[in-house]
Order: sequence, then structure tokens, then C-alpha cells
Amino acid sequence: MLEIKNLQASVEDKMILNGLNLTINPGEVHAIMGPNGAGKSTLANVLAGQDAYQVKGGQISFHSEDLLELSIEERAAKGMFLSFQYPIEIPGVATMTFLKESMNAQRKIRGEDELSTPNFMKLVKEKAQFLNITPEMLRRPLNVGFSGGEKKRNEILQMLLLEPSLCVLDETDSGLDIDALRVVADGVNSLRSPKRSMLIITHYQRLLDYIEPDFVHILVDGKIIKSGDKTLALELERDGYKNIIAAA
Amino acid sequence: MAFFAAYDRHKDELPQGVAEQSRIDALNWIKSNGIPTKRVESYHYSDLRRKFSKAQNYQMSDTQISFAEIKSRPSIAAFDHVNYVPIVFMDGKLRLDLSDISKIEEKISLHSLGAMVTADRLPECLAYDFKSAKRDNAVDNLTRVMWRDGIILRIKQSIASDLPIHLIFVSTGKTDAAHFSRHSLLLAANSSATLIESHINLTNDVSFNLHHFTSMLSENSELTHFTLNSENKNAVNICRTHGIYSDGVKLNSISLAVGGAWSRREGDLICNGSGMDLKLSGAVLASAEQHVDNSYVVHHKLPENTSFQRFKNVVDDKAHAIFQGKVIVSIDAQKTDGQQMAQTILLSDDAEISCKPELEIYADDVECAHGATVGALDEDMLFYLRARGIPLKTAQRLLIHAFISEITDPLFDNLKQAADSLITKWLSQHLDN
Ligand SMILES: Nc1ncnc2c1ncn2[C@@H]1O[C@H](COP(=O)(O)OP(=O)(O)O)[C@@H](O)[C@H]1O
Ligand SMILES: [Mg+2]
Repeated sequence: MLEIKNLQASVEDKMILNGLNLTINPGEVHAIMGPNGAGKSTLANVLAGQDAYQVKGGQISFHSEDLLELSIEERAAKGMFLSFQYPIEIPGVATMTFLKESMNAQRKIRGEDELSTPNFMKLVKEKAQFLNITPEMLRRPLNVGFSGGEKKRNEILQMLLLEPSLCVLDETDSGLDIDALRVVADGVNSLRSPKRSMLIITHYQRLLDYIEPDFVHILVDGKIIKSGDKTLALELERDGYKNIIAAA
Repeated sequence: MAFFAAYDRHKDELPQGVAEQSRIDALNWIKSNGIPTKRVESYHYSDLRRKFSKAQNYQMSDTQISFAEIKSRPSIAAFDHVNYVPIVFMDGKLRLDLSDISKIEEKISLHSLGAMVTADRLPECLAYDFKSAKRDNAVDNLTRVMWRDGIILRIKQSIASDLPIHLIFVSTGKTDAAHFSRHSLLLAANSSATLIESHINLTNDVSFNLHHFTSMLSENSELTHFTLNSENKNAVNICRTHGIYSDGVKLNSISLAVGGAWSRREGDLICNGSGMDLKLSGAVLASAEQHVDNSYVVHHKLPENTSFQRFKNVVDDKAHAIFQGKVIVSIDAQKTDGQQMAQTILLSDDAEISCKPELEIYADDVECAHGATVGALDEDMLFYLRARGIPLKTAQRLLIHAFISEITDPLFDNLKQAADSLITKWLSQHLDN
């Protein structure tokens, strides 16, 4: 599904990713862990197409296409979804308008019919309830006045509605209390399927208790220095980044 | 100058009587001061003389048309769900035959200035307007020289906000026709009303309109005033308001410019009382080579008044938007709160914004501030929307609409929807996928 080869990327002329390799097959859940500033969000943003990040070398193929040739919205329509570490507040754009525009835009690019308003409303209501998102929150402008945790739940709501093929979750657990973490994890787990893959970026092992990964990678200084199964996360939790880095 | 020659040609057709001396006074003012060029500070960005050099034909016309035809124009049809009371002013003349005030007949009075002056039946408060000598403004004097007619509208009792009065200014498009009008709006004490003011053309011909409004708001009156300029790409439109406001007045003025070639809304708003809340706001959507100017001076003469000027501009292509806002706080006007804010989004490299907020403060206990921002659309917001699959143009449309709708949000539901549909239409014409 996703194949990253020797990816090098910079931001404001500073090299962040220095030859990153990663292959994700359909149905797999990968976790990326790493210290602050390692380049985790840079990777997530490069995948989504944020052009503040420049790709200096390497290739990325997504569903056997050259991802780097696709516009931001084309990537989304092909199933790329980034749950933002810091979701943006957009005053004046109603949450419902935004949800409807995005669902229909993706359907249109894929050549599908627009959702009818009643079907759309029903769908949103059902998924929102699942995530404890109140109708009052949905009436507000996009993310405006949302707490950190509410913003994260709103990201997951979008993910449930858009049903992407690759879910990239950038520190979705930060800002969530334990109850919200469980709700979000249930939401993410409900999307697990043999056709859908996930890339879970996190700082702490905690989230991985709820969303069990098939693979864990440790990203340091823009490179994956170690990969393993879920026990690697536990090892990291026990020994800390310093020891893992020293041993690598 | 063509203007003087035109006056000589037409003066016999113009109502004289009580107005005769004021026409002569005003003409003399123009003779000694000239029509302002960009060397006059307040017209620096809008050279009036250059525009006047193009207005040749001062011929008046009485076009035969039905109200249904006016109502079917897209920018008027946008108000179909607003239960409005239409008053039509066409080619420089009040058209009672196209107006229908029956729904609120006992609450207002409506007259033609021309008819009242001709019959020598002008109310004392308006006759005064023709006597007072010192008029230091070009648009005031130009319209005093050449006016043919005007609307005299008096709100005697409150009118429900969902029953707005709709002043529809129509130009039918005799090429180069120029029209000068002087209108008066009077709100009785404690009354409230909602006014819509639309400017449209029926053809794509050149039109040239100068309107002067004297707006007298009595104690504790409340006016919501929505203005739409949806004229054609050859239309020149200049509207001036001389506002005289009393104790406790609440004014919420909201303008929306989506059309016209060259337009300027200007005014001197005078606080002759205390406890007022004046909100003066506008949204400008300009493209091609449009020129849209909003220039207002708020005179805080007495204590404890609040004024807030707020304009938002979206400028594309080679268009030019202008905001000049001035707050003058007299020595007696303690506890004045005067704010000005102009925010602009430029959509092309050739788009232009000129912003000149000014404060002139003679009192010491006041709170005044101004701010201006100019920028492009927020890149992070665009990225977020596109990352959810929303195409770039649609994302731009959503963000511009969000930016502009802050201005139109205070309007009541149906009127807001009308404004929204006009904004949406502009956006889909200018940012299509
Ligand atoms: N927009 C930016 N401008 C400048 N530097 C940035 C920007 N974004 C990230 N960086 C820098 O790039 C490095 C990697 O950042 P990031 O990918 O956000 O790390 P992580 O998500 O792993 O904590 C950091 O040193 C950070 O300061
Ligand atoms: Mg990060």
C-alpha cells in the first residue's frame, strides 16, 4: 500500500528526514515512536502533501502510484488521511459544512454520487455519538473553542466518515484523558480491516495498549534506527530512548 | 467644464423654488473649489474630477418598466424570501408607480423631493437643509447643484425587522446618463426600522449616479441598514451620507459591494448626543479593474458614544479597494470608544488595497484604536481543508466566505441568506473549479 524509499525531507532548509525507509502492506498497523523533534510529524506532513516541507530525495509510492506527484486533495481522495497533531481552528466554516464538503469532494473525485442530506446527517449523528461528540459541538465552527481532546475526537470523526485506506495518526493520544483515549481507540479499532492500514505516531507506549500494532519503528534524527514487533514498544518504555539509541 | 455647461442646459427642467439659492451657492462652491482631484486628501485614491470628465450626458429619462421586471433581476431576486416593502428610484426619480408601501402605510411617510419643492410644501426641517450655507464637501455641492429628485422617507413608528424597506436604485442605461439625487431619511424618536438599499442596472451601459443622503436619527431610534452594490461593470456610483445622530441611537450599517466599475461610499457621521452605538461595516468583493472606496468620518462631539468601523475586502485581478476611516473626538467627547478595523485578502499580485485609518483626538479620557491587516488566505487552513479532499478552489471559497460572513452575520435570517447567496454567486463566478 505504502512504500517509502530513502526519503529525505527538509523544512526551511533544515534537513529533517535523512533517508527513511518504510513499507506498509494492506491491513498492517505500524507504530512510529521517537523523541521530540525526531521528524515524526514531518513524515506525516510529507505524506499528506503539506508543501512547507520539501522532499529532497527518495520515492513514495501509494497504491502503486507516485504519491509525490499527487495534489493534497488527490492524495486524500485516494485514501490518505492524516489525523493532525494540532488540528486547525477555522472560524466561520461550520463543522457540518466542512464534513459534507469533504465527503462529497472525495466521492466526486472517485466518480461517486453525492450523499443526500438525510443520509449524511444520519451518518454523522451515528459516528458522532460513538465518539461522544455532542450535536452542540457539531454546530460550532470547525474546531473553534474545542478543547485539545475534543479536537482529537473530531479528527477521528472525520476518519470514521471518510473511511480512508491509510490512517496516519499523529500523536492522537496527546491531550486525551483515559476515558477519551478508550473512546478514540475503539473508533480507530472499528476501522481495522484487511484492506486498511494504519501508521500510528506516538510518544508513549500507552496508546499501543489500546491499538495493538503489528510493527513498531523507532525514529531518531530522521531515520528509523530500529524496528520490531509490539514488544519493542515495551522495551522502549522500560529502557528509554537513550539506551535504545546507544545500543543501535 | 462640462458640468457647468450641463447645468446651464438643464437648469430650467430642475425644481427651483426654495432650492434655487442653494443651487447657486453650491455652483459657486464648485466654481471656486473645483471638483476634487487626487490632490485633495480625502479623494486621494478616488479622483472625482477624472470620473466627471467622462460623464457627458445629463439627460433624464422616464423608462417604462414593470416592477416584476425589476424584481426578476438576479441581484433583486436574491431578496425574494425577504418580505420587503419596495420603493423604487429609477434614473434619478422616485417612482411611486413602481413602489408599494401599503404594508406599512401608517408607519411611514414617503415623498418625492422634487414634487415637494415644486409645490412649495417642503417640511421646515428639510427647508433648513437648503438654507444652511457652509457646505465643504464636493459630493454635497455637486448634488445640490444638479439634483432632480430624491426620496424623503420618514419612519414615524417602529417597523418589524422582518419587514424591511427596500430602496431599489435602478439605472436603465441610456448611455452616459448622469443622475444626481438628494435623499432624506428621518427616524422618529424611539422608532426602529430595517432598510435595504440596492443599486442595480438593467443593461450593461455606462451609468453615473451621485446620491446624497441626509440621515437624521432621533433619540433612541434604531436603524439596521444593509446596502448592496450590484451594478454592472461600467457603472460609476457615488453615495454620500450626512448623518446626524441623537442620544441613544443604535445604527448597524452593513454594506456589500459585489459590482460596479467605480464606486465610493463616503460620509460624515455626526454624534450630536450621547449613549450611541454606531456600527459601520462593509464587505467588498472586487475583481477585474473595479475600484471600490469606503471613506467615512465619524465625529464624536459629545461624551459616551461608541463607534466601530469595520471593513473586509477581498480583492482579485487588478481591482483596487480603499478604506479611509477617520474618528474625530472633540474636546467634550470624553469616554468615547472609537474603533476602526480593515482586513483585506489579496487574491492576485496586481490586486491593490489602500488603507488609511486616522484618529484626531482632542479629549483625554477616550479609548480609540485602529488596526489593519493585509494578507493572503491562511496556508494552514487551506492545507487542512485540502487534506480532507476539498479541492483548492472550493477551500478558497469556503475560507473567503467565512472571512466575509463575519460582516453579514448580524443581519436577520432571511436577509443574511440573501447576502450569503450574493456572496456565493460572486465566489462561484470568480473561483470556479
Ligand atoms: N514549520 C517548521 N519550521 C521550522 N522548523 C520546523 C518546522 N516544523 C518542524 N520543524 C523542526 O523540525 C524538526 C522535526 O520536527 P517534527 O517533525 O515536528 O518532530 P516530531 O514530530 O518528531 O516531534 C524539529 O527540530 C522541529 O523544530
Ligand atoms: Mg510531532
